[in-house]
Amino acid sequence: MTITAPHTSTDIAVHATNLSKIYGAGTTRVEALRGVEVSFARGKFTAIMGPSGSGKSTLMHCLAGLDDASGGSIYIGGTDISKLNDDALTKMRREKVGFVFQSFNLVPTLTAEANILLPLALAGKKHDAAWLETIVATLGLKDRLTHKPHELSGGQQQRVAVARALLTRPEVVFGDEPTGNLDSRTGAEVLSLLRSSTREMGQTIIMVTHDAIAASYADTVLLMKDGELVGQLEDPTVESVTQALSGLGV
Amino acid sequence: MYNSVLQLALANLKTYSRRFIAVTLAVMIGTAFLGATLMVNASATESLKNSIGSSYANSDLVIHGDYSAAYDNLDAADTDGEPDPVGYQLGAKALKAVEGTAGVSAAHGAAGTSVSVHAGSKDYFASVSTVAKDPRLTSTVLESGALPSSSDQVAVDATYAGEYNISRGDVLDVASATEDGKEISKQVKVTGITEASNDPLTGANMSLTVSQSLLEALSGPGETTYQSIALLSVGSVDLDTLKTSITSALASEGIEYTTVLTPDEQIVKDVANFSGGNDQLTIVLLVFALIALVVTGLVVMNTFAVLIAQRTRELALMRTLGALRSQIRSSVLIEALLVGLLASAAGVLLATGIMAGLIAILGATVPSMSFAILAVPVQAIVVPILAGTLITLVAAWVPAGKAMSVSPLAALRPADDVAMGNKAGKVRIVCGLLLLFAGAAALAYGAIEGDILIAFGGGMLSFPGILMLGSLFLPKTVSAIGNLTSGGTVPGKLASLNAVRNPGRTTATATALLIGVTLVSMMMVGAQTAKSSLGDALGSEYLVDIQILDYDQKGFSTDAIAKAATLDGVEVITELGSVGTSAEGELYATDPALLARVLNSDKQVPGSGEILTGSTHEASTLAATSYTGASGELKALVSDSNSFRPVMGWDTAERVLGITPAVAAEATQHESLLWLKADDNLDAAALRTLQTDLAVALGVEEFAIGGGMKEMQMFNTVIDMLLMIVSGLLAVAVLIALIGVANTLSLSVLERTRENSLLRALGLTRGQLKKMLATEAVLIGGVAALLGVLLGSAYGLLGAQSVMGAFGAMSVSIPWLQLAGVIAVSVVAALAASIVPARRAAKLAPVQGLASD
Ligand SMILES: Nc1ncnc2c1ncn2[C@@H]1O[C@H](COP(=O)(O)OP(=O)(O)O)[C@@H](O)[C@H]1O
Ligand SMILES: [Mg+2]
Repeated sequence: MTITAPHTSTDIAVHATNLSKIYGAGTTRVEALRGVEVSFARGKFTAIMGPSGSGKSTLMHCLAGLDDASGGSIYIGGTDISKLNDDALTKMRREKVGFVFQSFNLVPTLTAEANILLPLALAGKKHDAAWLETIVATLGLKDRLTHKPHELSGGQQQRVAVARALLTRPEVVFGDEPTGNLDSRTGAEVLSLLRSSTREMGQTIIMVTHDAIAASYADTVLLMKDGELVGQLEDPTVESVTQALSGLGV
Repeated sequence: MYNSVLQLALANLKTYSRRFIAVTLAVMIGTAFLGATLMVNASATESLKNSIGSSYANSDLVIHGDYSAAYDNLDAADTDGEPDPVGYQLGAKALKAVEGTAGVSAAHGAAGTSVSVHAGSKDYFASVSTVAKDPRLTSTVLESGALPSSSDQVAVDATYAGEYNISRGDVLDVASATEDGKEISKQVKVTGITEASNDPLTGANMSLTVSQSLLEALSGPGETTYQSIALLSVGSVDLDTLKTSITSALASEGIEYTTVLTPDEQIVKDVANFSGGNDQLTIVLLVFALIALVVTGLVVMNTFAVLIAQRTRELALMRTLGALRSQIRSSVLIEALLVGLLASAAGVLLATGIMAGLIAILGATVPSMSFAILAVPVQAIVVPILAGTLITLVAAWVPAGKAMSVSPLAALRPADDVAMGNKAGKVRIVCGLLLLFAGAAALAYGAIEGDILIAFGGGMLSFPGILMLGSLFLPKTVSAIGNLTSGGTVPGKLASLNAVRNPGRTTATATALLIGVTLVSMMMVGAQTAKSSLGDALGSEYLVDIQILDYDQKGFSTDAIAKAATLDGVEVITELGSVGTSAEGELYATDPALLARVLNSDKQVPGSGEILTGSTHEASTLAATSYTGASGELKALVSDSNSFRPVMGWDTAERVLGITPAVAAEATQHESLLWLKADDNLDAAALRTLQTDLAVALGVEEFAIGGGMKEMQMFNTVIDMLLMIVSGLLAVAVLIALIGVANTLSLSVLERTRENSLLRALGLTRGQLKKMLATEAVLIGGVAALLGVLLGSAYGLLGAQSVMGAFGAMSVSIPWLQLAGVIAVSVVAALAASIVPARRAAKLAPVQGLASD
């Protein structure tokens, strides 16, 4: 089954064809992705949902170049990343991809500011000071820049991660349950931030979540089951998402 | 409940067995060192017992004449300064007295003579032993044939029989020299072949077993003396009582000075005589073993601290589930106990293997050491195992305490929230400062006063003081040097941050290496400075490297001198001609320019009108008379050398005494000699070669070639050899410390799997990750080595000053190359230590690490 987010191909930020991922072999063989075809529109906030074990994280890891796919191709901003070697892939990640993980987003030895600047520093590039100031102000991190991660609350840590992800103006920001560890109010804050970065900065965001409320912040929801894409929702609400999920037998 | 604690410890060991490899290795090497040290002494003793003691092993008591007691009791009758042999020599009379003592069942006098044996057309030297009346007291063991039963029979030992082609039935001439110089000769037939002797005192010669009657015949009538008398008791008698009665029986025969000992007592005495400094060697080795063990302790402590930190959440979970504090601590200590026990046992095995190997090599390659056997005394097993286990336990004590204090809440906190930082205890800092200042003061005093004992004490105090203060300066130095060298790159910056993120761990890792490197460089600087200071002292004592005398007074031809000058290693050669005499004996002159170059001390070169004399000359002038009868007065430049031929330049000789080289050559008393300056870098072998070459080139005997070079070289060789041995021993400590560096790094990498994966996800390439970890290791290893070299150099110089103080001025000399080598080795080893963990970390796909907990 092929599902394409509703936009023309020139406006595609991330695209995968016939993507498959197989873990293990023999009796422990797991087909986590079965020939997934998917495109993500530029400037949109897409949520990937599905029951536990359906392959959401695997899909995101493959799309982001964090893990090798077993078959198929992945294009980020027109580059086929499945053909890149590890160094090229790493450089691609630091230039074209941003990450917000569920937890452990920050390097404990570095201050919040150094963490935000890390991908650019690794690339040996200068940052755009005005852009940094905008992001930091928007995320309310001004007073926290010199703090070490263990001096920040969970919500602040996630916001630092968002700032880091946005600073490079990447082709796409990936989030794997970015609010999974936060209380609902702080979670809502972070999700609003992500949504507004799409609306106001035109940032492409792909987020994995199992939470219907989180998914309702997205423009599009993709539904997964057993390693395949099985449905899609536009302009989701909490109700429509919950309904669609229960249709999957969750 | 105890059972469950044990189970937990076992489960931990099994699950994390890989994390214990390095600790095990460190403890193993440390205990192996200790074990081997203890085996050295025991093996030496046992080997000697096996050989020296074999001749009286079967007896109950052994009697020896006691020359030194006799010497201590010299009386007026001993006009020649030697004690009367009657008082200590064992002969037929003594044997009879012993045999006659109640409680003695049999006695046998062991011959102390040697004879010459004429076999075929050659003469050999042979030690004699005799067949005892009671076969239990015969020390030789028959291999084939029969023991001699009459005065025309002998038995020969197998080794020499084989070597000299002697077989049963052969007829030999045996001859001995009596006291009064007459020779007694007998023709004998070989009736048996005996087992080869193990005794290093006699093993070098052929061993001849003869009958009592032949011994008597060879010794001359009534002249037989015995080296010792061995005896068997009747069995029911108390040996101590028997000793007393034998001593008094002998004394009543006028043989006052004897020792009566059991074979065991005798062996201890013999071994002490034979091996002399064995115990001192053991003590020195034990000091090095102790250093290795202290370093091992640091490595163990560090490892457990890291392991506990990694298990914080797991431990907290157990606390939540109801584990008592004491149970947590017990489980950690049981782990330490098991690791320590296993590693120490392995260490003892390793030591046994190494010693067995060394002894086998020694026995096979050094013929005179073929009697060496391995002895593993109980203490060489028990002590290292106890010490290794104890050190592991003690080192794990502090980390176990930390484990115990983990609160159940820690399980609920995210792992990365655990605050970092580690403060040095106030008590430790105060103690450290006290030790440092007291030690430094003593060291300074010892250096100024030239008192090595005080300086040594100062070193023993200040070094532990510095180590206690390590947490104050080690992480700071690492961090500072890290910032200096990071070059602004992210991996560099991250590495220097990582290197000090846990200051306690950094301190312990660096300290372990610091100890080894400090001691090694102290030895190097001390030895080098001692060498160069001695070199200066010797340079003015031995002003000339090589001096060649012209014994046959034929003089040296110009051609021969020119040829000698071209030999490898000859830098300057000059001929000295005799020009006259003085109160200081014969006077010489030579080319002034060459003279300045050939002398080893710049300060002792005679100028115009001056003569360089030996140190025995006291006046500031020297009156000289030339062969032509002219006389004059020379200004004396007195050298430090005490046996020295007074020498001046030809210019002076011509001006003051009117002697030119041509005139000197004409003189009948003309005697000439050559002085040479040799290349300073010649080693002993090259010097010997040069000596031979010179002898050939100049047509002189080798004994005509002398000079100070050989003495200087001997000093240097001794110092170099000591340095090599000591460095080799200390290298064990350095090796253990380097294992510690590798261990800390690989555990840290494990601990930071998620963090490293995050960095990879954010764009750190594999290469950058490896570089980061390598930098981290090099920073810790390099800084420890650097500080160690600095500290060691200071100790070395102060130590040398306190030793040399007594001899005179010290000339500071730093073996830059060697010290750079020490740093290079540490850095390269640290780099190598990072390879495996870095590879493992880089192999992980970012997502794999992110998933790990
Ligand atoms: N490293 C792995 N090794 C083996 N199987 C895996 C691994 N990671 C995920 N899987 C399997 O792949 C499937 C998809 O997993 P995942 O993508 O994590 O699902 P989701 O994120 O939707 O819960 C599951 O069946 C899971 O068990
Ligand atoms: Mg998941």
